[in-house]
Amino acid sequence: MHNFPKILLVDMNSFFASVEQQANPFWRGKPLGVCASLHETSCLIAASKEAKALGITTGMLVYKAKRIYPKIILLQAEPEKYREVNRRINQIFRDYTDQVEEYSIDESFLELNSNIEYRNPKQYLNSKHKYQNHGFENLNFEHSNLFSASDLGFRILPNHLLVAAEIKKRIRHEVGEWLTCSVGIGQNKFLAKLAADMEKPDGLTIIWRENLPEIYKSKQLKDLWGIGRGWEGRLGKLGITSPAQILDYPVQNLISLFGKPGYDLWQRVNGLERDEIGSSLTFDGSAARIGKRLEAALPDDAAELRYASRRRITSYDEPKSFGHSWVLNFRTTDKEKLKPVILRLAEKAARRMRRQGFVANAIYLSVRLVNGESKHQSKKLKFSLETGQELYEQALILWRNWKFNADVMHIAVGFTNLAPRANQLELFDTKIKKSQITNNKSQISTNNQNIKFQRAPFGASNLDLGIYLDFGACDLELSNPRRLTHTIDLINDKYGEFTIRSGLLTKTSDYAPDSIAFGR
Amino acid sequence: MFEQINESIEVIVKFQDNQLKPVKFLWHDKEYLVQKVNLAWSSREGRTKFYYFAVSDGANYFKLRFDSENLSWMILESYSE
Repeated sequence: MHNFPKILLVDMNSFFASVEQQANPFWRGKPLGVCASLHETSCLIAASKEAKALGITTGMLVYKAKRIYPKIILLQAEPEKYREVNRRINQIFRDYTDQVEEYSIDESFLELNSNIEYRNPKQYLNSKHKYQNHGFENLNFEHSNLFSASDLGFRILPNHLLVAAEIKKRIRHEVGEWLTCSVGIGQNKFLAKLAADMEKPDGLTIIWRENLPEIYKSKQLKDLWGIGRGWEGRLGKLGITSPAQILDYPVQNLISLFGKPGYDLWQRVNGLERDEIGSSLTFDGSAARIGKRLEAALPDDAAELRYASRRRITSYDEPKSFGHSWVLNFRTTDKEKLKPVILRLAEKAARRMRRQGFVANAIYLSVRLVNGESKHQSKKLKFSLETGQELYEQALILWRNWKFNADVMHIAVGFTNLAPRANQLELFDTKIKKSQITNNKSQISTNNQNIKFQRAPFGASNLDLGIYLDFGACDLELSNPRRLTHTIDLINDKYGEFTIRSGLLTKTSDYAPDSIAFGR
Repeated sequence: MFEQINESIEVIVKFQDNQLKPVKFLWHDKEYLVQKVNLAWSSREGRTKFYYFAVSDGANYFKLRFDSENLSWMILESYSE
């Protein structure tokens, strides 16, 4: 039985920048960068194809990009815009297969059904005209990598090619004419990724395992997906400096030296991995895995679905941390001014973590100064945390002895040592009498079953809730901290983030605005 | 020139193919004919849903916003060369 390539990777080219150029046609053909913040020391989260041609890359600092091309158009990211385009593109994918894994906001793996009735390859290979009749006039088969290896054409599945070409065409026609993508097709995700990277922008490439020696001639280890600097260093000590050397390297040696990771590496570089494509429905722009969120959202009685979902998630996919960072839009050494930033970042991280059903047993705090110095500390805890305020309080303990001899420009804070949230009952009753909660919140009165609330006065600077809850005749046991958090989450889900918030966060809506992960 | 605006406008729209499309709008007593909707997207702030339209009239780009809660239109950005 032939092992035909059935995994597609659709990689949107310069995604955020292309979406901006799609929105405004006057920016097309011009060097453009998208940034989380327009501050000089912020970095580009996307560079347009035109900017890339000048040497401006994703991740480059704003002032460096300006040095290369002073007239570069710089735009602040609009996450909702990119999420919508991502959603529409993924809708197109689902017309062809339900096996779609949204690897990141601009990359999705598709597994095409192997039961498709394949047509005679020769019929398509010998007649370019037939492709044109199908509307794939933009495919240039003569110069495509599709036929980079001789005689492989007869093994290509034309239906998969047609699907890939049609997806490219539909994205341009149905979502935006300026949006291009590079599609790679291979027998597993690694090969599909390698194929997609071979022709950018706007490529369509199939590769087979047999192509690897040829492809690796122009590749370095660090060019390969999943091989980082660590591996490069370790392999370098063995005299392995190129992927081609791994192809012929005795796998037993790698296993002896590195154990299972050594075998995994050899298997990957040889294109021998077997992948399952994890289904997902939406991408929320966070780096955390989507499958886990879906699993958390399943009702308790959907055990079978839950198991099916879990099978696709490897330990590689488990989130290791939930955190947020922000390049400040102001500069200061004053800790009091930085506190609301930490709390806001902590609340955002905590919301994401709770949504995915985790608690944390460690935290970290990191601060970078304008003079290049940075301070970082993490701390393991003997208890678990799940709220932003808990993280905030622990972060303040961490930085108690920190002194800043230059302005702070960047703060990162987050949870680590994650564990699934267990619904453990409280050993002791922690309920507080209603009167204890409400006696100092005289602003509110209610006599019905609904929660009524009133916004905190401007300038509130304590940690009381920005909206005072009055439980009145309600019997919601909101004095239980977990229930209170859950209820606040529900209200914020309905009325918008930070509708109920700490008083410390009053007038901080421009701190750490909505952002989007531009990697995985 | 890129300009951030945030002003109320009057808009004529058509409902077509399950979509809402601005056709023309009145801003500062001048009528702008939408030649192309380049991109449309939406966002939520709590239960309020906003619809955004990146449109152009041949010489200008505009970003318009429809507030589904109070059924109002705003012009948020303009750009011309």
